Amino acid sequence: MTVRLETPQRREDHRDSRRWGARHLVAAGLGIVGIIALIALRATTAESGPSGLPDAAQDLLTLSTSVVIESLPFIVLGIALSILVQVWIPEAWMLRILPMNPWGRRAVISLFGMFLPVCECGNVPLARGLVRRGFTIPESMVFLVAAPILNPVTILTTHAAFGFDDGILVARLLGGFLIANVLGWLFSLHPEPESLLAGRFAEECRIDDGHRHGTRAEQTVDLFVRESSILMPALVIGALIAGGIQVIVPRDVLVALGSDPLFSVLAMMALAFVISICSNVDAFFILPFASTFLPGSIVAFLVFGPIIDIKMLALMRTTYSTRTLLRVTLVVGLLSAVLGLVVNFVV
Amino acid sequence: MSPTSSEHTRVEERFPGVARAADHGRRLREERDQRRFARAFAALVGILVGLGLIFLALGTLQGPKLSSAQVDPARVTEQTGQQLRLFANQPVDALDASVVTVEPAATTSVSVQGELIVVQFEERLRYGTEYTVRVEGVGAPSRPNTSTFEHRFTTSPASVLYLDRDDSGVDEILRADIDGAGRGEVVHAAQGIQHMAPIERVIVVARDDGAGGSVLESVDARSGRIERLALPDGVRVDRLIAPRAGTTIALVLSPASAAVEGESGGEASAAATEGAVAPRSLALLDIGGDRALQPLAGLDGEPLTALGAWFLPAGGLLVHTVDETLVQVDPAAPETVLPIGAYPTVHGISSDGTRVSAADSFGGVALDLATGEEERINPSLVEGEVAFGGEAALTASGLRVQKVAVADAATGAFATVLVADDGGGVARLLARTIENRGSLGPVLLSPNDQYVVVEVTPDVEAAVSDGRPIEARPTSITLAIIDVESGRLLRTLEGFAPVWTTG
Repeated sequence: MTVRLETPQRREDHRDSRRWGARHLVAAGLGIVGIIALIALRATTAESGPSGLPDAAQDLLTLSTSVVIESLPFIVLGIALSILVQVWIPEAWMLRILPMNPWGRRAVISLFGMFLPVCECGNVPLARGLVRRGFTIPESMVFLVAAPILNPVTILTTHAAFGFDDGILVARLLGGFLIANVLGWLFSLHPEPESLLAGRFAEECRIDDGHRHGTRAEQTVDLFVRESSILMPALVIGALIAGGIQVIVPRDVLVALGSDPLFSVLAMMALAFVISICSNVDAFFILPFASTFLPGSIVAFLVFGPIIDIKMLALMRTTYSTRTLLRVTLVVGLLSAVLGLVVNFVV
Repeated sequence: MSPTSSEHTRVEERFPGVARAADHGRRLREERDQRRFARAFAALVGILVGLGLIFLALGTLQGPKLSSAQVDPARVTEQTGQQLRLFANQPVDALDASVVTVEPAATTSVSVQGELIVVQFEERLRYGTEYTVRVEGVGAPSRPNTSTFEHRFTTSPASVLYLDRDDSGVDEILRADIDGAGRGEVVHAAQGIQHMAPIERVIVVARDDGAGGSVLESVDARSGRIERLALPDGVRVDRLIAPRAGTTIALVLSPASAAVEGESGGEASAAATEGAVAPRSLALLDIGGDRALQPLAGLDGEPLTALGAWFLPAGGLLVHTVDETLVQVDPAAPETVLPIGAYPTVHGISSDGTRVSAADSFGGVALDLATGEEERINPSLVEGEVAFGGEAALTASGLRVQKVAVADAATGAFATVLVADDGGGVARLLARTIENRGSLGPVLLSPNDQYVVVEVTPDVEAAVSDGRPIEARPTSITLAIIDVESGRLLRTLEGFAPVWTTG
């Protein structure tokens, strides 16, 4: 007979876990209330006609609500898949299928996202876990870069938004694969891979381990609350920013900017960097811009954003050194821009 | 066997010079690896910058590009106002119609909405024809370069849906392509089919109910699924009228006991007035909606009775009432009945829906629905002989396809022939029966006026009726499909009641 002892550390973990759960529950609740309020407000103002909100505010609500409504089902699907993979499917089997050849190994790792369909913020702890299990640091980068793009939820949402129009979906997938493997190859040449890492991993990631306690059902509920509380506010804020830009920035400016082969790409990359939207929903976010911006710029947004943005840099800084991140940013930025320019030329 | 690291350490301790050399070698290796990484990094950045500049230059020299195009190859042959939608890869400047060329020629208009260029066809296109649409001078705002968009598409080939009866009582609805051979494909088979009308993806079929009335069914041509549509008991369907677009059909209904059209005793004047509906009363049925029969009322509030009815392309319903007046009804607001004129005979509407082909005691007349102006239809000479006008089908271009009676120079008897008449004084012969022994039945132009199909009884004297109580036909009834422009006979099919569709 085995006896499980509850150590002080375990009790502390449980208390942390409960606090996290409560915080996420509140955040998720706020997110859901925000969405309902947004839709209710829109419904109310639609009936009130011209005497309601100003035109700009009505436009903002309409544009923002449309992004939320379009992307919400896919977010829920993404969360469900994420839970399925993280809780219900064993992790060990992934390690068995890796080839020995470095190129082949990196190529397979760049497809891990197909089985770990979470957005980029969820991939940072997973990438760190790969390093712990004996993966090289460049290999962890390959996973981190490719997984947010080469995963079924992102593919599904990108297809739902763009279909196969202008080769945006194909360019995004090929671009994600290419960037990940080029980065992996480049940093595999580094003589001191350990110097690529930051001194310590960030506190944000630690909670991931704490939540591994409890039954699978408890983990499922906990993960749902946690993922929802991260994604829902991001979705609402992203939708408001997307709507706000279209309302505030004159259409002539957008059209002129969007028609320029270079500035359209740079503008979209800058937008992706600033708004830091999740790769599972970024296709819906950028869809309204597709009519004014060149396809290459949309591709640059969809490739650059999931890898490099304010939120991701903050998260990656917990794992990689600043110097490494600068190099990564430069290479990813150039690759994304070239990809966008190529798409603009070809499509 | 190679030395272990501890052995290395011991050696380095005993020989400091060796240790320094090893350390120096290690540093050199590390520096070499560092340089290798730095070189690879710089080379990668340089290559990417170079590639970026190349593609930037190439992209700058380009104008907008055509991303995709949408056109309905079937509708474009059936309706005017159909659109070819050209999606550019970026917003484009406004365009005018002069930059659009279509081969073979077709009248178009053009508009721009952001990255979408809409080329609207102001006429119906020909069946089974490859069209090339070219839009020149497509530019983007704030960009100097322009480009030419070109899109090719092939319109759907024409086909005919028709009814073929069998002695056994099992009738077949068939679809036959204009270019095909044989009878065509059997779409539906059932006992005692009286009428059929295709609407959207289904065919509405009226069948004998075995008691002189009708059973109304909706047949899904793809799945074969049959759904019963509600009709009052003891009702017979005299006509089924389907629009070219939309889901609402019109029905002319009579009590099952009423005299059938063409039988002695008259039509609406039939004595039988009992039952759920008045003789030849008109009703609407929305197949895509609640499927409830909606009887129509005339100006006097009494049931609107009809000899015939035709849906106009714009959505209105033109009704030739039993008291020989022509009225227009809006199916969306059927309480509004607009009188148009009085004509003993109405043949139908022109393919563009702007004119009505009718006849009064003075002969044929073409009535302009927009202006109310009448134009007399005076048949031109046929092979030098004077012709007497019959049923006329009006094309959008003003050409008439008309049945006329001409005297046979040899026998002195009159023969009915089908002619194309542009009103210029000489008509072109399109069809006549062998040795003038036969007769020509209803004439139906294809929606784009390219073809005409006519029911032919090859030999009137030898004709034997199929004996059906509703829509009886000779057993030898045949459809002749003719190219209006060339007068060439394209196909013959054994059957009747043709409806134009696309393959």
